[in-house]
Amino acid sequence: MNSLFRNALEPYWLWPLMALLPLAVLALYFLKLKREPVEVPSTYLWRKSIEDLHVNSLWQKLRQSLLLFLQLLLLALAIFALLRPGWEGDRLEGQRIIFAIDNSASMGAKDVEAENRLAEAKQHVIQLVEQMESDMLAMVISFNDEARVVQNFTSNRRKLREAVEKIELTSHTTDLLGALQLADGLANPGQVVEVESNVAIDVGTGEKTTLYIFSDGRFDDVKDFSLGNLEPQFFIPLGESDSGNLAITAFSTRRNENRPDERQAFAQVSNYSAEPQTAVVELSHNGKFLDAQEVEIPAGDARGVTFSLIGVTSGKLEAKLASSALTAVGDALEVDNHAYSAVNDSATGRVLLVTPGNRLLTTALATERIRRYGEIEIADPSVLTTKEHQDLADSGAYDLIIYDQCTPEKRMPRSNTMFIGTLPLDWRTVAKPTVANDTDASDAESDEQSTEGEESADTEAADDNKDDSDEATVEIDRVNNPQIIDQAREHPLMAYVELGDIFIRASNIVPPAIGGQVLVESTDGPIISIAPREGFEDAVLGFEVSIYQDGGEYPNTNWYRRYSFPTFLLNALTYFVGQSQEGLDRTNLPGRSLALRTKSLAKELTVTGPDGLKQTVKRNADGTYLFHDTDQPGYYEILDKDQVENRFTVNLFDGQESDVRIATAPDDNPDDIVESAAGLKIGHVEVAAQGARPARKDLWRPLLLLAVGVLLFEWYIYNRRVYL
Amino acid sequence: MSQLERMELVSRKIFRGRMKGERRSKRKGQSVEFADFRNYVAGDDLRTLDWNLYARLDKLIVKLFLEEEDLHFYTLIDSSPSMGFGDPTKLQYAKQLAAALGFIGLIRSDRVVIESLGQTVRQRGPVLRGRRSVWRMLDTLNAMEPTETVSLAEGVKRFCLRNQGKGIVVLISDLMDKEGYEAALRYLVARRVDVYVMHILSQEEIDPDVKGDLKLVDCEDQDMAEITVSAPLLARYKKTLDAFTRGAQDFCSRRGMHYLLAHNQLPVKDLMSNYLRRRGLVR
Repeated sequence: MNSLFRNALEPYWLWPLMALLPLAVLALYFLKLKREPVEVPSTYLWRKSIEDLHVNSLWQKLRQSLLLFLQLLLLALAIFALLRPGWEGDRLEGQRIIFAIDNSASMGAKDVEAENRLAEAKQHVIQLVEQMESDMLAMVISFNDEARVVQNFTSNRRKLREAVEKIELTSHTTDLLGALQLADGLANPGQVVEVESNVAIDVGTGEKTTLYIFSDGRFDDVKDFSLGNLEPQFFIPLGESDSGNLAITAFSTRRNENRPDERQAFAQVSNYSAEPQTAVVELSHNGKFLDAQEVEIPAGDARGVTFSLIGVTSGKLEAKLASSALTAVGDALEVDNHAYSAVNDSATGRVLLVTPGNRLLTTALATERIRRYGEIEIADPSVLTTKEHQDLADSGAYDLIIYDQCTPEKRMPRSNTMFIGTLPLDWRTVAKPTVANDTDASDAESDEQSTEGEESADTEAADDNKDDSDEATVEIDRVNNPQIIDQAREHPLMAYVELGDIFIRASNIVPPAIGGQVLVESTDGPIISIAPREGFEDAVLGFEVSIYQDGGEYPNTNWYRRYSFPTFLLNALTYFVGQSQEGLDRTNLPGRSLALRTKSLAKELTVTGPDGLKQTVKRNADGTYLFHDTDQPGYYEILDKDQVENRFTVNLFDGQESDVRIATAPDDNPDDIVESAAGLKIGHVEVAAQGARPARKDLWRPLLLLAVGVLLFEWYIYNRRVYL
Repeated sequence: MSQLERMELVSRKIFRGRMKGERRSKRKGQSVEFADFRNYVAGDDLRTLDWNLYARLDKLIVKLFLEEEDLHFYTLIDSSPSMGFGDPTKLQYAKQLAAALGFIGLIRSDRVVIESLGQTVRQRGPVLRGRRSVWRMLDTLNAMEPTETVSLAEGVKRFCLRNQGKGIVVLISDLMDKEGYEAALRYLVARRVDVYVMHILSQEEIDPDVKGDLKLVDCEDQDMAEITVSAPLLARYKKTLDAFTRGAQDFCSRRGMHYLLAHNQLPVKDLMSNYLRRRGLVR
């Protein structure tokens, strides 16, 4: 494996042939002597000269046949080159090889000999590809947060080289699992169709596939993954363990807690180096310098700085680290030295509460905190039938419509909705059909459509007549005294909402529509659910807070007495209104597709990227605009007919990527100065980091160059009659 | 021809006057130079009796006079194939030189003999005298071709056998003889004549412009020398050439001969006006 020579002369009968070559040259040299005859007046003097030279003959002979020696040397070099001598490296192993090359953001670190880590990795791979035997198959995968097959299994070295060259640095995060899964899927294919010949090659299933992983190791160990036939012997860490990097790991704007009309920008700077660093964060707005702050960051820690944004209403905010600090730390990664944030016109959200009259709800929605998110309009269910309201709802003018004990007339509005005590229109068709008027006759309380709840939702109402306007499929379970047994705490709507001792008198069972999620589960089934709809979301509370009946208002639950009730409402406002309003201010990760939120209804929108490139985004059938090209970190503008409609930013806020230091293995020997890079754990398999580069240093190229040099030298000597 | 015409003019201007010392011109008149006395023996010309001595001593004494001799100006041109090299060829150069010298001799009414090495013992060259012989001299020169393959020593030997007269001998040759030039020159020394050796080399011989692996073919004996041209070889060649010319010079000066090295790029005019004058061949 580490042999000094790799014989390129495969059939052994070639060897004697090679040995014959020098002899042939020698023979030619002695036989050739096809000297040009030149007539001279007399050979008298020449003879004498030659004789003189022959006196010290051996050395003279050597000098005379310098050309011969040069020719022999040339030949020797060529033959030596054929032996492919090399050192320090393993030859490529296995018949089938997968090269997985990390092209995530951290691979842009410049702490290697090559231009960056990725370039170094590419060099390694190309060196390895050069060593491929003709019967080897190799494949190239590039991976960041998603893995991509750059080149399928082939033995064509040129194709592999080109594929490797094509891999470009991205600003994405790293996910090795994706690459492993992809490699695993491709490691044992029944057949591989070779593209150029279109011939399916059965590569067999039992064959081991060697996986070379080229990465800097900035990702977590992969758990729950079985390697199967993959043999990832080679994890090749690139980079240094002592590289320093300063990074902006968070940057956002928000309203000042104390003064809601004022905005603040908040930036977090992380120091990924062994020394405490002082960084200067410079803030600029639309390219104009706004402010700068110095922050001292202990080693390996992060510190935040806050800027006040007085007078900044909209546009592009950029935070960057001043170059002085960057040079001091020897900043290895550039992409995280800048962070962008978009400030959108701070229009307040519009929330419509359609209720027959619900004091508990209106009171809870009247808090200062909630007002900050937007104007709460309160309307009677009768407006639902008006043309004016329907137009508004269709145009998406509202950020959130809360239907309390009512439902929209014809179709769902173009906005987020929250239904209290009723079901959205399209949920009805998917709702689990139940046996109407089932045994306990507890519910059968069909929703109180446009009518203002004249059909009581009261406990034992049990009127089973369905709503005339509705389809026959609609059956809603209604249960009495459901006991809450579980809640989805991780959902933003349920953050800090504690539903421990809530008593509910009666509730609908609301199984979520397709793609939805149950937020609160009761003994009888889900009572709060949420489901997406065409880029919006519908939250459904199965139980009314209070029932308005006969001009009187009767509580249906004691929830309103708990802190969790206004918290839930605030969450809802934050989630639905804040998301659409400030959601775009929030940052997006590079490479993630993005549903553009805009009030516009245009067929297509234009997105201007950080590099000034314009892209047209068409409206999808469901009314959303999906934008995919977020590879570049920076500031994007959404334009509708040259009018800036909205803004968003893409940032690499990823501590893993920014921490460019190579993880070092825990050292058993404290005296050992040389730290070795940490290995990689995939499932239960430890993949050791290969300190030595697996790419073998081949000598044949310099040898051939040398041979050419010798050839030139020989030619020169022959022509210029010089001896050294 | 035009060159020679010009030479004439140039040389006339320069060489008005006497030629070199040992040469006794017969222009001194009819007078004979007294040499010695000896007793009369029967058969002697009575006209040579010194009557005054007879009167005084009553003995028959014969006066002996030095035989009157012309000044012989011999030019011996090596016309071996090796002289056919160079541009102008060494032979051409030698002819020009011979013509120039001969011309001077002719106008001084010396006996000018121009011969080549290859001539047999019986084959004498014409003896030229006086201005009007210029054309004959040039004809003789023109007839010479670099085709004679006689060794230097043999040629000189034949020359010496042909011409017994004393005088000036100018040997124009490249001295490239594998048997050596020494034997040839010794013949001349033995003649006790005033010898001038004009060593003519071509530019190609002084600074060879060759490269690569070559097979040098000797134009005279077809001898082959295989060489691989290299800087040391060239240096060595130059050294050898240097030693060769210096050896010849040494050899000549030790034996009272005059040696002059010329190469075919040096105009004959300059050679005549500068070098030969300095050497004292012409004045």
